[in-house]
Amino acid sequence: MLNSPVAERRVPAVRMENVTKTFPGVKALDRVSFDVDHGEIHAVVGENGSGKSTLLKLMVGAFPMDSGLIRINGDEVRLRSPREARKRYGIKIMPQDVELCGQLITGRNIMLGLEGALVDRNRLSRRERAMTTEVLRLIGAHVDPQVLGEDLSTPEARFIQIAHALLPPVNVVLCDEPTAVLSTVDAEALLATLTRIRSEAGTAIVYVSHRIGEVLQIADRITILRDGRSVGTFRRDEIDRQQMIELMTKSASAGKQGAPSQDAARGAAKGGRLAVRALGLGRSFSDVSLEVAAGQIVGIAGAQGAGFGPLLAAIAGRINYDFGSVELDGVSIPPGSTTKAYKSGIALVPADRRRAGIVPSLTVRENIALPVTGSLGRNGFRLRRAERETSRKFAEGFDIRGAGLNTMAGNLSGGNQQKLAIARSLQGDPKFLLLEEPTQGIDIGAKSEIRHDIGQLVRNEGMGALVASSEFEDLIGFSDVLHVMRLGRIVATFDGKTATYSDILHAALP
Amino acid sequence: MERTRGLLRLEVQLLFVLVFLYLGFSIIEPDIFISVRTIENLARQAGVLLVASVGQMLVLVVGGFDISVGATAGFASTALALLVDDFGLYGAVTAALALGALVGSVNGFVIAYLGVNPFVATLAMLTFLTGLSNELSSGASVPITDRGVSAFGADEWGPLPGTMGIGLVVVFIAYLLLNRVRAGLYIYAIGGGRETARLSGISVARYEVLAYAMCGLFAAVAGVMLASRVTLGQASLGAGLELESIAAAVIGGAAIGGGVGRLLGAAMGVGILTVLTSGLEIVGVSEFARQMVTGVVLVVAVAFNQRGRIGEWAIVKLAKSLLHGRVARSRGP
Repeated sequence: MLNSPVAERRVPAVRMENVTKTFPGVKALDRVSFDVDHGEIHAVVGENGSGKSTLLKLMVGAFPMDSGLIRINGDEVRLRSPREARKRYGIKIMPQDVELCGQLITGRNIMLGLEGALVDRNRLSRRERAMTTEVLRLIGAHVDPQVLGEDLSTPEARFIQIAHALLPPVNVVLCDEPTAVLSTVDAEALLATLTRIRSEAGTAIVYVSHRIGEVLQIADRITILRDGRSVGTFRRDEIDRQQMIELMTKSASAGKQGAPSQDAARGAAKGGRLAVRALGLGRSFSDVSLEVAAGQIVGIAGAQGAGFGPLLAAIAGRINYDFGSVELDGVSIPPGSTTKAYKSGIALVPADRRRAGIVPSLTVRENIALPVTGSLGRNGFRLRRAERETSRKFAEGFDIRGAGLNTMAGNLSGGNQQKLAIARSLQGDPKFLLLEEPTQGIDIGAKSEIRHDIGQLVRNEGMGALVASSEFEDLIGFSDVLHVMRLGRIVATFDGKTATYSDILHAALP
Repeated sequence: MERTRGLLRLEVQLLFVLVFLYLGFSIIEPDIFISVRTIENLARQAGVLLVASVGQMLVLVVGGFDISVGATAGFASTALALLVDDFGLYGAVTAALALGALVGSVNGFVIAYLGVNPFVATLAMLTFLTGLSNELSSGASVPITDRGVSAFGADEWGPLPGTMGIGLVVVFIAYLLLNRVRAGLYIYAIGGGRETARLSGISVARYEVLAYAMCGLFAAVAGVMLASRVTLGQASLGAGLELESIAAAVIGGAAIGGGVGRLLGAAMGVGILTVLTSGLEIVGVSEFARQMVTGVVLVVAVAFNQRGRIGEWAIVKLAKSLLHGRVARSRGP
């Protein structure tokens, strides 16, 4: 057993009472009470900015709270640092980003922070090996502890983070959006593991997620936050999906989808047809053929690693391909040049928002104006007024909220960053928009807005959109045609209006 | 596992480059290069750079760099020369090394606790130490009166030149630190994933300070060795060591940005740089031209070091476009 048996079952592992935390200008948490028991999964849901992350960070002592108190196993404590929370009270956090120390072997990543004074960097001692084997067995992961961290896939790295969190002393494990970067298939495996750890090891688990479906699947209790306040705590059987969404968003309208009518769109079409013919690249994808017409939304569903990332990158000229061709209205676009693809009218909104979609250290205005700074200037000088006007038009069109044009893009919420990335990609007046994981890691309200925005572009501007996602539910009812990719090939094609979740899952499972 | 093999392959490649360079110079000047004395001289030269590069590699791995190592070496030599009359030889050497460690700790404190960028912090330290050393010595070089100082680099250590003997001791200490104790593991972990390390309960700042302190200590060791060879202390004695040490560590595979670096690679880097610069000197290339070569080698090493990131793409693309350009031109009329 990794967890010491708990004498009094009734005492919560962690209890927070009337906790308030204010940041300059924002009340992040307002008199929130929350508790989690041993052997329980307690989910926290809410839109971006509702205070979920702040709650987790207070629980690991990342910063002090303004008022309220924390009890651990019944005793009032003051957490001064993540180090103290971890070493003394066994409170571990699994951060949203999947990051391991790439140059260290997996076993060292699992043991990190628990070593004795003498360690062999490249090898585990017998005791350490026993501990890692035990914890890997508990979570059911089959990873060689000698493999370097950077050689692991994203799902494997996620499991290693769980293993890291489960080494003693362990009292509470806090999971911050653990499935955000995982495909549906890998997420299922992770949920099963968490459920088993809860039951077998009696660990208390706090689970923060945007994915309502999985919360309803694994949580014993659910707390809903809205604007820094607790709206209520429910047992799983007391609440359903629709009620949760209503409580999170204040209105039930968030479920609406911006599905455009194909016929209506045809009229305003910019014209053109993007054809991908028998495209292939090494082991990434092969023999992929598909077409996107103006005024059409084509979806690609698949597990992560199914190959749609490289496929979109190849179509947009970001990487080269080995076979096939990409044609726009019958004219083939030379491979491996983003400049040429961009000039032909193909714009990519990559999944890697912070690194490739926006420049976090520039303002909203500068981000939007970036692709056209040249044409907006005169004689090589930037014309700030022209930049401002162009960017304002787009910022308003996309309803980028909670921020002025001079806000640093890196400070925006995930949903607003995504909108900004899309707005930026529109600056070259593209005919076709390729979007990779456009709704990844953003809240439900923002997801439906993004879908709505894409729908608007297709319907009103007559653009064509190719949307690839590992979150299948975001494609259903949204795309006109829905392809399913598996192991680099298109294995099924559905009518986007009538496809069901289980159809897609069935086709996408390797 | 695969990656480990890849790194070993890098060191094999470096060994190949080293041998190739040496053979090249031997063909140009066989009388000079094929001799024990030349090899001894090269080893004597390399010992100093090896010590400085090992220290530099520690801070590179933790995710920073230190451009004050040359000034620290000069400061240590000055302190040694000034203190030797009052404290005796061993007292003065100990004091010089302790001052080096102190300088490194201050660098580490300013960077880790005050959040100052390593470039700014160590550039400021370089300037400060140069001023301090010259102030203490009234801007002149200070002769070392105790003849025994030659034991710290000038004399032979058995069959080895003294600097190389000391260099090997330093490498062994660094090996223990990096591969056998917790602190070394944490230095790699911090360089490879700061946030991960922090959330694992590691006090990141403390180990960053440790890395800089060791770098300062080793820079002072280099300074004592230089002082031993010329029997004087001088502010500018270690000038140039900062860039050469970064170049050697990076040629050896250490990544600017942190997390990666191996002692064997750094040692190879030292060997290559020493053979290259000394070799060029012997065949009559001017000092200024040698500086130009060092600069070019540093950039090329970093560019190759970026393999798998931007560098490979840039180089491959450049090569391809050159090739394509030539093909296209040759096809023309």
